[in-house]
This record gives sequence, C-alpha cells and structure tokens, in this order.
Amino acid sequence: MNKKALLTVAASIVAVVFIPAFTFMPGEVEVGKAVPAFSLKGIDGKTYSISDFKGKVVVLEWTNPNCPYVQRVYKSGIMPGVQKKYADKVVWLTVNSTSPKHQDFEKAEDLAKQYKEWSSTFATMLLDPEGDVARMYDAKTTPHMYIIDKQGKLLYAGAIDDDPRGNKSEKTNYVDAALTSVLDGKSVSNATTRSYGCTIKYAP
Amino acid sequence: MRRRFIPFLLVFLSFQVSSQTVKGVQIVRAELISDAADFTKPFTVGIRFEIQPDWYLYWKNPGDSGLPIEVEWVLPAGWTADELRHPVPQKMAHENVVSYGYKKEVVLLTTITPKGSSGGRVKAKLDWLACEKSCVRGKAEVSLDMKNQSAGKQADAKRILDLWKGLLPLARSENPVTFQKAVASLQGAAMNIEIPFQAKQGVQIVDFFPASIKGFLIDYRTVGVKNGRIVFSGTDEGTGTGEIYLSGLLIGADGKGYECSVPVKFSSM
Repeated sequence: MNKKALLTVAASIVAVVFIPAFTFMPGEVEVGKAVPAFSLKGIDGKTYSISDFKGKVVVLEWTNPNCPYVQRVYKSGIMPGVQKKYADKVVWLTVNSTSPKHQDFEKAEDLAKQYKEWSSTFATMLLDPEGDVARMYDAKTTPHMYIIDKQGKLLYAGAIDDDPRGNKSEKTNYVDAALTSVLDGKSVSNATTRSYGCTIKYAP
Repeated sequence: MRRRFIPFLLVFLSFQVSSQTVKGVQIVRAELISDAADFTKPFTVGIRFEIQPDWYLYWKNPGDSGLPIEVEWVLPAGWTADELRHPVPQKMAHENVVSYGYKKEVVLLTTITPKGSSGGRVKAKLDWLACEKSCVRGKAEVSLDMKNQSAGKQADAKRILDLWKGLLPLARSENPVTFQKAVASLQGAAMNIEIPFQAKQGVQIVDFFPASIKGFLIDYRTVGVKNGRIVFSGTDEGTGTGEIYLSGLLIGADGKGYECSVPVKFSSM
C-alpha cells in the first residue's frame, strides 16, 4: 500500500470518511524517516553516538542475555550467524536497556563474557540503564531489530525472523533479507514486522 | 493389601500432572481434566493451568510480547479435537507494551469427538511462556486416561469445567453491537482506524481485545473503546493486500467478552 497516497477505508458496511486522527504516539522512530540521535556508553567504557556511524549501515539489536528468546537465537547460531555474515559490511550495535534495579541486570564484564561465549561479533554493546533509548525507539522486546542506512534513515524495524517458537524447519530471517536488500541498494520488502520476545526490563 | 493397592494405582496413573519450577518454586502446574463417562458422543476436556501469584500466561493473541499457549493433541485413532476455546483474558500494560493473558488460573477448553464407545488416553503436548519480572519457557506433556477416572475426580472436573465455560466469551451470534461506520486516517506511517458501534440497551462496552491481524502490525497501546468506537492504530507490514479482518473480543463493563468480527478494506487513491 502506498502510505503517502490518500487512503480510503471501506468496511463491509461502511462509507469512507476522513476525520482528524486520534492521538497516537508511536515513539520517535518511523521506518522511512531519519532516526533520532542518541549517545550511550558501551561495555568497553567508551561513549558512542549514532551520528558517529553516518556513512555506514547500522544494525541495532535490543538484547538481554537472561531472556529465553535471546538465549535461543544465540545458542542456535541464528543471531551470531547473521552478525558474522555482515561483520565487515555493517556496524552491529547491541543495546541492553535492562535496568540495574531489575533481576535480569548483568554487569558490563559479565555481559562481555556471556556474548563472547555465544560467539557474538557485535561491534559493541551499548548500555541504556534508564531505558531512554529503548523508549525513544519504541523497542518492545528482546530481541528487537532495527536497520539504519548510511544516511541515518530507518529501513527496517521488527523481529529477527518469522519463527517465535524456534521450531520451524524453514524460516525467513528478516534481518538477513533486509541487509541483503539494503547493501544491494534495493528496497526492503518486509520493512516492518512484529518483533517477538521478552519485554524490555525497565525499572520495576 | 495388594487388591486395594491396584485400584489406587490405576486411579493414580489415570492422569498426569506437570509442573514448571523456577529456583525450586512451582510457577505453573498443568493437567487435563474431564468429567466424561460416555464415549459414544463428543465431550469436553479442559487444560487447567494453575499459576503462581504474580506470574501470568498469554492469551491466543499475546499482544506486544510473549507467546500464546500451544497445544498439540495426541489422541486415540479416529478421535478429533475441536479448536481451543480461550476464556476472556486480562489486559496488562507494562511501560510501552500491552499483553493479554491469565493470572492465577486458566482452563482452556476443547470438545473431543471419540470414535467407538470405549475410552482411551488423551494426551496433550503443551508449550507456553510464563512471565513475571522475567519470562520462562515451559513445556510439558499431560495426559488423562478416560477409562479409569474416579467418581470424585470426575465431579471435581465437572465443577471446574462448568465454572470456566461460564468465563468463555459469548459467540459471534450473540454479539450485542451493531457496527456502523469505519473511519481511517494516516499519521506518519501509522494507520488510525475507528469503528463506531451501537450496543444493545443495557450493554456497556468498555474495551476491545483484538486477535492478531495477518500483515498488519497493531500498536496495542492504541487499542480500545472510546466514545462508542473501537479505536486502534497500526502499520501495514507491506503485504499490499489492502485489507484487514478485525476480529476479537468486545469487553463489557461486567467483564463479559463478546466475539466479533469486522472486515475492513483499504484502497489507495
């Protein structure tokens, strides 16, 4: 559907009328638009800004090692596999928005150790203990994936794949497909999908 | 002594309970229940989950996160199970996420149609996600030997099944509203939709719990009932079908759920 075009909606019993929309706040990010700026500390102690990576394709991956979905996509090799495939073509940033007040919280050194054990090849893990960037990006789950193009425009938001239960023999890896399209200069066919996983662990 | 022991053993083995524990605490206990004694006609089986306080399981549409309870039946040859019937769930909002699910206890119901007149063992493979502050995946196999249930067990099952049948949503044929006119607008990439309805006298509709919509990403924070309208926003996932089928539960002020369904077609100009 052409979202920029005028839209009509016809329910089975319905004539089409346009009225002002009711209030809707989807967060500050939107597929097809520039992403908002942010700076966060990484587990290496350095501060990173999203603007540092202008000119490069960036992947943001919301994560929490104590979430069973995150554990599954790492242990099964799904996440490390796609990270490794694009390691020299994109900047892969994981974001951990788990509050220090939450029982799932892990210290930076423990996070580094865990993801190394899972053969992750991310550039760094950003720490968002207040959850501000998660709210800004409207990240809902771990994992929740975002792909940003070289100009800083969001091209994909959603799930890692179409297999929430991890039992499909044939699955579509949305991030892999989207990155292939982005790097080939083609449009992303599934630009928004329903992410699945655990909720972001904000302060209780 | 031995003669007493054998019937006891038969009753004991006639049902199988499964529990999920976290750090030594049982958080979910699952079992099959039925009061059926006549296997010449269809009968009700319930999958009962008892859930530790503060934990919850998810409805068939979990909302923004989570997973619905998945059930795979293993039945005697020729027997069939109808679609699961889910009681009206609770809506739970945490930060920017909305979930639909069950706390404390839930019984999912189905009708099983047997073949022949003798009982058999009904088995269900269950897969769920239990959440509290954190989430834990649960899997179990539970079974019930329909032939060897004690009268006491059947009476307990009947009481529980009757209670949970009363908590099921009312069928679409008993829908107490008439849909009137759908209205839509775009705000950025979000499509905002309103469907006004007229409720029967004496029925007050206060909320709407949607089923998931294929090809359309619902923003669950926006879903509800305002001024006699179902309102919701979402994003087309790029399927280009130009059509969604909105179904779900209208929720009454008295907590009752009413199944409803409205096809909504879109066209670009």
